[in-house]
Order: sequence, then structure tokens, then C-alpha cells
Amino acid sequence: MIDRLINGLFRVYILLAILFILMPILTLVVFSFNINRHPRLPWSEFSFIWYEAMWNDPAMQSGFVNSLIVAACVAVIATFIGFCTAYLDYRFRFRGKIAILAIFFMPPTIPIVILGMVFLVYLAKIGLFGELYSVVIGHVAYCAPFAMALVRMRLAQMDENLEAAAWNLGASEWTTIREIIIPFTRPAIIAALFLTMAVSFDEYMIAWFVSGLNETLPARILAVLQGQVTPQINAVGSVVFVISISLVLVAQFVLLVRRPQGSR
Amino acid sequence: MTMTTDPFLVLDDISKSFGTVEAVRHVSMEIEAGEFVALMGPSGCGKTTTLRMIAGLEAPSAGEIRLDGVRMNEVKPWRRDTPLVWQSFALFPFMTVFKNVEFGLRMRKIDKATRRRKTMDWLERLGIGDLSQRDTNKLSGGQQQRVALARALVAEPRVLLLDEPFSALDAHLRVQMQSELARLHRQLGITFLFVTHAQSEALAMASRVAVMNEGRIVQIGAPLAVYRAPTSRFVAEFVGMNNILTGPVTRLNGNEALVQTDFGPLCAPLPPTHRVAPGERISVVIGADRIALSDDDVQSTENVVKGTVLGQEFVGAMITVFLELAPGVEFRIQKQQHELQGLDLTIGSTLTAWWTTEHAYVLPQTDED
Repeated sequence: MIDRLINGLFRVYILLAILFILMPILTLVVFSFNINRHPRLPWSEFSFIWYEAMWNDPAMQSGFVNSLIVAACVAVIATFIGFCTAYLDYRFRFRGKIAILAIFFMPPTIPIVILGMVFLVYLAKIGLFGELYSVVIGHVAYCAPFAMALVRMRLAQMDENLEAAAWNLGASEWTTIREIIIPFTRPAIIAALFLTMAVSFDEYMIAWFVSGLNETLPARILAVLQGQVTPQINAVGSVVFVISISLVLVAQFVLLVRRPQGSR
Repeated sequence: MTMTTDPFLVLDDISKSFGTVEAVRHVSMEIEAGEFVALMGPSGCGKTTTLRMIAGLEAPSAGEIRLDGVRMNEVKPWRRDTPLVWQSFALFPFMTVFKNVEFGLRMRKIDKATRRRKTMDWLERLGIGDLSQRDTNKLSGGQQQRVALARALVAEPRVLLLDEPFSALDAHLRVQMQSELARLHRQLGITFLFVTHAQSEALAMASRVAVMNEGRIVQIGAPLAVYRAPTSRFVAEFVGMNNILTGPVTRLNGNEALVQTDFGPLCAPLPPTHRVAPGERISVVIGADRIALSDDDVQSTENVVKGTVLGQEFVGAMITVFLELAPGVEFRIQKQQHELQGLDLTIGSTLTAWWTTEHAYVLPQTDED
């Protein structure tokens, strides 16, 4: 009896904690549909006007398109680099490997403001600043470790003899990567594509520092927030949130829910 | 292409070190085409490393491997024709049974129709034709084993390497797969090189057995010869269930030597291979299956030991009785169950064990523990 009571209390407590975490986002979404200019209760009237305003704002439009382009490029490049690094780590042993991996894993551990500033200084110095590809460069450095971690996790589940078994049957090293390693790590690769896309799509600090005039959507939002705030920002925020969370959920689904074959 | 008189597969003084660890030391061996050779030894003895070197998955640190007279050391594994059956099977998990078996043919750029015919042919041959479209992870151990065999044999190699292929199977399946493998070897006539730590497998199938220990081949020969005439204490203990008693030779008597052990005098036929002099310490091997048991005193003064029962072990109709001759000294006797009826086998009871001189065997080397 007392056990069940404690159990129930714990459930309520966890629910409250989740609610507390989600409250800002919920507020954002709820007020994006409110016709009133000021986010105040009671709610006045349901409306899509802020979404319309967003849709018709050319800066938002270009920001959205820029974000999509960057996210797509980052997903492909970061996942490719992440896969290569993970395979390097899986397959080879060499002096200084730990040091190289540590450097590779560093970007996400550095405060993002610093990372943004560093990229600003560095890219300006080598003349790659202020373009869309500047954002791609920054985001790839930031996202590739996530991709690597996912692929590495999958490779750790592989029968260590699988690769040698393919060689033994006449497949060269490159053929084996194509025929065995990529098919085996496919769930992780797909998950990495979606996850890095989500991280890039969300990221505003690096983008804000290095994008110059080619703002991505989050950088545009930041600019708006610094000026005159309209509830349009709620609408934009909701859209960004829905896209990001969808990408993350797809990644989770591919990696965890749909149990990949050959897992041990 | 020079030495065409070479045997089919030659290991010429090969060694392999991993850092400071010497896994294989100066192994030399010649294998004729069509032989069924078992490499056996305890885990870590270097047998798997030797096999991997033949497949090209490890490079020898020294020595030469020749296949058909051609030096193989630098040949990449995918350019060799040395398919391996893995202990873990190493089936490709994301492919069907058919695709697994077809893999080697596809890598050799063989046309689709031929691939299909050969793959189905081998699946039928191993009795798994109806499983061709299944996922490999939905198969039983025995079925996976057959897929692994078919995958290795489909490209018609001249040698098949097997790395403890049956260790993942239960006892019943193991025997079944052993006979299957023996049948395949007879039908195909190709060379089989089989690595195992189980003496029963090696002795049951192989035409020649090489026993390895600490990276070296310690004895090589026909299974029965290795079983009945071990050349060292290690082989005697590893290959069969043997008892070894050591002591000085007190007297030579025609073709027999009288040996004084801590547990009584015993007689052993003089070894044909080397001379034994009085006073020399020699080790005498008595197979556990060659010993009689009784609870009375035995009249003979030689070839008799007394001990207390430590326990017994059943394997089917066979019973192994463990006698303690002195603290820490164990003597093993293997008998059919019906042969032991009427004996008091309760732990602690005293029994007498004896054997005839002809069943004792003198080790050429007296390497004592």
C-alpha cells in the first residue's frame, strides 16, 4: 500500500519535471496561434496570422532555405567524415590514435560561443568568411563527432571476424567496405544523417558568427529577437522545433526501435 | 613456380610474434594434397594463428608458406584460395542464406546463372536447400554451420581451413557434423586443415594430427600413433586420458625395465627408440582405459597401486574413477559401468588398481612437472 503510494508520487514528480522542461516550448507553440500581439492570458483568439507573416517575410524565407541547404550539406559531409573516422578507429591501430580521436571529439565539448568566435576569426583569416559554406564548415566540425559516435557504436556490435571473412572469400578491402561495412552500419549512417541535420538546422551561434549576410533561420531568429519582437517569432520557433524534433525522432527510430539485423 | 616437387602445402620454419609475445615458433610442416590434418592443442598454443597465416590474415614474422610450390607470404588474403570456416561462423547478418553462400562466387565475378546453379547445388548438397531465402540469424547452430561450410566450399577450393568449427554446437550435433565433414572430405578429395582443442574431433576425423604447445609443434603423426605413443608428458596428458608415473630404473630384465616409483615398483617394456640405463629416471604412461580395479589385494607385486576413491565421473556408459595415491597425486581409471558392479566406489574407500606390463609405455623424454 505504502509502496504504491510512493510509486504514484514518483510518477507525479517525473511528470511535473517533464512538464517543467517542456513548458517554454509549449508556451511558444500555444502563443504562436494566438491573435493577440502580447503573449498574455487569457488567450484571445485562434489564428494563423503569425504563420502568414512568417511565410511572407523574405528574410525568413531566405533564412529557411539557407538553413535547409546548410543542414543537407552538413548531414552528408559530417556523416561521411564521421563514418571514415569511426572505421579508422575500428580497423587500425597506430601511434597517436588516441590523440587524434580526442581532437576529433573536441568541438562539441567547447563552449559554442568560443567555437563560433574561433571560426569567425579563422575563416576570415583564410578568406572563407561570410558565405553559406562558411556555416557548413563550422557545422561539419561541430556535427561530425556525433556521426562518428553513432557509427562507432554500431561497429562495436559487429562480429570481429566479419571483415576478415569477406577478405577470405575474395573481397578486397574496398569491396569489403562496400559489401560488408556499409550495409552493416547502414542504420547508424541513416541515423547520423538525420541527427547531424537536426543539430545543424538548430544551431545558431556558429551560424550567427560566420554567416555574414547569408543568415540561416536560427541566425535570423536571433537577429529578430535583438530588434523588435513580434509573435511571428513564436511561429518560426514552433516550425524549427517541429522540424528538429522530427529529425531526431527519425534518427532514434532507425537506430533503436527498428532493431537492426545482426545486433548482438 | 620453381619447386614443383614440393608437397601441396608447406610451412617452412614459420614464426609469428605479436609485440613481445611469440605466438608461433619455428613451425614446419608438410601437407600433401587431399590430406585431412588436425592441428590440436590447448587454447593459446598458436594453432589458430598458424591457420590464419595460411589464410593470409596474419603475416609470418619469419619463415615461408608455400602453396603448390609458390611462396604465399606476401599474397593478400583475397587473392588466395584458402576459404576458412570460422568458429563464430561469421555469416553476413544482413544477407540471406543464398547471398551468403553466393558471396565468394560474386567476388570472383562469375556470371549470375552459374552463381545461382552452384549456390543452390551446394545448399542442396548440405541439406539446406529449402532455407535459401532465410535470414541467417533465424537459423539453428547446425544450420548456420552448414551455411558456413557451403559458403567456404562453393568456389571449389583446393584446401579448406576450419577453425574450431564445431565448438558452438552441442554434443549430438557435433558428432553429426563430424561425419558430415568426413563424408565431404572423402567426396571432394581436397585438403582439409582442421584446428581444434578437442582430441575426440581430431582423432575421429583426421588422417594426421599435429599437437601444438606454446607455439611449437610437439608431435605429429597418425592419430592412433599420437594417442598410443606420445613422445612427451604434454602430449600424453593432452591427447588421451593417461596416468604418468616417474621413477628411477632399478633393473633391466630382458625387454623390460623395472622402475621404482613412489607408489610401488612397476614394469615397462623397453622403448625401441632409445636406450635406458639403470639409475636413469623415466616416465611411464598407463592409459586410463587399460587399468583393472579391485577391492581385494592383488597377488602381483608389480604394476599395482593402491588409492582412495576421490570421486567418479559418468560419460554415457563410461565411468572415470579418480583414485588418490598420495595427497595431490591422482590416478584415473576408465571403465564400462558394468565392469565396476560390486565395487565399493564411495568416496574414501580403498581400491587397488593394476595393469599388465605390455600396456605401459615409456616416454622418450622424462620432463617432470
